Amino acid sequence: MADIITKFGQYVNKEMLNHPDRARKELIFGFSAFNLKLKYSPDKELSPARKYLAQVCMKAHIDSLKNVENAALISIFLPCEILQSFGITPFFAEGFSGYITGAYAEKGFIEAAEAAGIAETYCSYHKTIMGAAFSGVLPKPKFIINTSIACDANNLTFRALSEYFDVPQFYIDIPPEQSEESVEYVADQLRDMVKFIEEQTGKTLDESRLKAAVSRTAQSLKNMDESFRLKKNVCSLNDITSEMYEVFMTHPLLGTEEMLKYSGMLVDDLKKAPPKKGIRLLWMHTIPYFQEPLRERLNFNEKCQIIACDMNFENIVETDPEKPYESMARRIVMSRFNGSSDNRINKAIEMSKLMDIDGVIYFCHWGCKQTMGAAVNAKKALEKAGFPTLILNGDGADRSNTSDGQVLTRLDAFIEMLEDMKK
Amino acid sequence: MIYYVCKYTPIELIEALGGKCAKMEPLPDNFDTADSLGHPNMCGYGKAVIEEVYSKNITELILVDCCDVIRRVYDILAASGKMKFLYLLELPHKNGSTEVKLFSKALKKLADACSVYSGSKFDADLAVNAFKEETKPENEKYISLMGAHGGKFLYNAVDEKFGLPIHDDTCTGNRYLPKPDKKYTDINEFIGYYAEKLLDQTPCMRMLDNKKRKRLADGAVGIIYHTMKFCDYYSFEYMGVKSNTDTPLLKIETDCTSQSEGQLSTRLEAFAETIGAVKNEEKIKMRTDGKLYSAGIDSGSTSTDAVIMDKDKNIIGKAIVATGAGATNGAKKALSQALEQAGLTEDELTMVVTTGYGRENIGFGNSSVTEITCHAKGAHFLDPSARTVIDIGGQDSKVIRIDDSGAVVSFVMNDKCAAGTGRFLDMMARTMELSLDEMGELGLKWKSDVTISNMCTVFAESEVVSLVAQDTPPEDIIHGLNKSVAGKTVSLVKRVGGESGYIMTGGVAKNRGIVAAIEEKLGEKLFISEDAQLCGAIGAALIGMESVAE
Repeated sequence: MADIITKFGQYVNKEMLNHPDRARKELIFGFSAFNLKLKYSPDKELSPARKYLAQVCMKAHIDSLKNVENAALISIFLPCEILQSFGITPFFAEGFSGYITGAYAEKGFIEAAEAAGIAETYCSYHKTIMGAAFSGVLPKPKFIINTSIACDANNLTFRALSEYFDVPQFYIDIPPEQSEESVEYVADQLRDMVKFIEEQTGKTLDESRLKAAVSRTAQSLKNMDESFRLKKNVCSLNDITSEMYEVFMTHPLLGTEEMLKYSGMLVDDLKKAPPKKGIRLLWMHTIPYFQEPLRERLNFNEKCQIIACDMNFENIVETDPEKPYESMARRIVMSRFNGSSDNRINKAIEMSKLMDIDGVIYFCHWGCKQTMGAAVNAKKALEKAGFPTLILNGDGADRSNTSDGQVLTRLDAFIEMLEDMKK
Repeated sequence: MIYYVCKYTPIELIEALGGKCAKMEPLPDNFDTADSLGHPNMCGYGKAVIEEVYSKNITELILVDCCDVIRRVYDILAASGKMKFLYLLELPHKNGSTEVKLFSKALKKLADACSVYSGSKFDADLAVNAFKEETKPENEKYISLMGAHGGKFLYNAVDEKFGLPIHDDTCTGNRYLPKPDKKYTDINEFIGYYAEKLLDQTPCMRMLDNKKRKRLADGAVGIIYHTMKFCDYYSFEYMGVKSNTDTPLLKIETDCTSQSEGQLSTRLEAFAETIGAVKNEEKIKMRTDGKLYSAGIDSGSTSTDAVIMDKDKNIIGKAIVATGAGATNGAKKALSQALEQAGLTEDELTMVVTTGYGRENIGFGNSSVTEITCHAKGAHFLDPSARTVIDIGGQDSKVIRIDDSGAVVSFVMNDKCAAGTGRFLDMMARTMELSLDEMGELGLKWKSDVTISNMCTVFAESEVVSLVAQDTPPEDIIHGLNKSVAGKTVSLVKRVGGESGYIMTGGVAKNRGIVAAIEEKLGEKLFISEDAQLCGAIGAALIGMESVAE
């Protein structure tokens, strides 16, 4: 299978040089074919919730890729309930890059970005989306909306794409201070975002639809919260790709019927799961789900598995559907990825205790200074709290920045160490 | 003393509260401490700030929430327990009226923290006196130093080479605040005025509305654009500046240490030569004893080359020797061999011009010129139709665009790392236990197309080791390496806007495998002269000759 996808990726990379539009159609064709596989021949080991998860995410990705011209290009931390209420498709940049890597096609996109002058030290997710724009594979979106978090790349990529495509950009600045005052400031920006979309589309927002979406968010976050509590005692075999799909659900797809359904199914699955066993890991930051040694060691393995990725519990906050703007604003201001790295580290400690974690893998994604800069602080704090931590360098989106051999040695040694500690 | 880094730091407010501020000017020897507390892949500046705090025992520091790295530098220093006063000031990304209010509150919070720390109160006179009368000079010819933090070190390095004023338009420079037209006795009123002025500065790249930056270098004679690895903001801006300006532009990359001083000096000098802004250009003394012989010496990192020319520009002596331990010894050795071949003595030479890395360390010679200018001259001499010179040397690779008289139009050089240079090939040859000559020949005999995805010398080495372990034939591995060097080289060609009429010079031009790989990538033949390796020395000799002929 990997060979076929590799050839597909190479073909797309070749095609994008002269026929970018054709390359996009081929991508849609390839993803649609894979979606059929997810639907009719899913991985048997996946739980029902995760089978559903893979299909929903793939469908959202294909729909947005088919309809970029009418979509809003967004950053992954943007609350999307407003777009959902307007019936506008979000095209999530980082998600697109993740799928391009899955199609073994990231090389051509990253090269296109670097050829235009983007530094090789820039985040690979962002290089991929820039490369897609510069090569012509990504057509002009209707408009762009992004937040200032979770990293500097958001402040650069989306502004540059707005200039490149000559489409309007709406920007939401998230103050690092986690206070009610910041929540108010962001809530006001979200209200302005509604006006921006109304101007761009000529449509008027139906506030009741927004409240309904935020109400679904409230219930979905409650379900997610319960799922983490349930994980403490069970062994629910999983693959690392699902953890990454879940990031789409807990971010741009939060507020949708699909997320509500998924989170409910997940709770049901976990309630039926057998008692816990093996080494239980918490993964911090994105996961290079395509990397063979990780798949081999961590997918559906009773002896060792990832219990959760910290990107999926960074935004669980009280949500009041009667105050939709404040609720969405609170979610993003209080995000554990906002402000001091202590916010994120303390949450990881809290959740490791809650889920009975054995060890933490702190993944330093190439170019992510927010994460890398906090690596040593995180390791010290987590280990002080009793959670051995492995700092693993790699790349969540670019194969050429990672080395299978290096990752395997570090991962195996860490697992051996944790096994010894458990004896 | 309270140190600061960012131009949005409210220096005047701190001084109004009785504090003394100094801009941090870190120039560490290494990043050992920063790497152990943070991560090697943070930008050099952020790491340098950590090093400075540790090496100088700094205990008072105000940082601004400018970028991801500085935010994490704050977290690292906060956890260190070393700091008596450490503050991270929130800075909005926008500068509308709401943001001015938010920023005013952030400034008041900082002022309160300062007062608690120092026990002093706001003083209206100190506030007025804290403002400097400086304004940005207008209507003058100048060089703009733009991009990531350069500091005193880079400013002085630039200032030394150019005969024009330098404007520090880098991330931590370009700070001009107007003096208030009245005395504010109330701190809140003062902050109300001050927050707006601070936010109204020429924005740095992290501010959302950065249109004013597009005019930053208006009127500059040349732009020196400074980038740093892992600094997102300024490599991004460089991309735009590069394609939107007609002003001559030089990109330099440092890591906030003085380690690459030699490389830096060559680039700056060559740029000054190109735009005609060399400082203290002295006329070369002419000798009038009838004889006219000119020697050029190119002191490179691996080899030193010497060429002697007569007045009709015939090469009458040449030599290539290993540079060895000292530039002067290598130069003497090369020159004496060339003199012997020419049948001359040193006294008979009218001019000796030195070039290359060691050019200024050689204890003799009438003048020194950078290898950029020399390679351009030399390449034009070897092939008058040449328009683009590709030179891969031991330490540097460079691409120079030249006009029909051999003058430099534009040039680019590789960044600090060894990727794509002779050193890279040298290391790979060693890894594979081959000589460079063997490597050159074997590279042509490949059968299966192998791709080395990593250009970083260290990572590429481990890829090569894995390929060797997998029994991949050496020919195929070498071809993969050649392709990767060719890729890097052709990207330099593209960056400089290379035109047809390619000539390759330098020692690596002898490597047929590399030449073939570059030709394939370019889709064009390279002209390679028998004297390709002597190109720099030929150029130096010609420059000497011309200076006398004048």
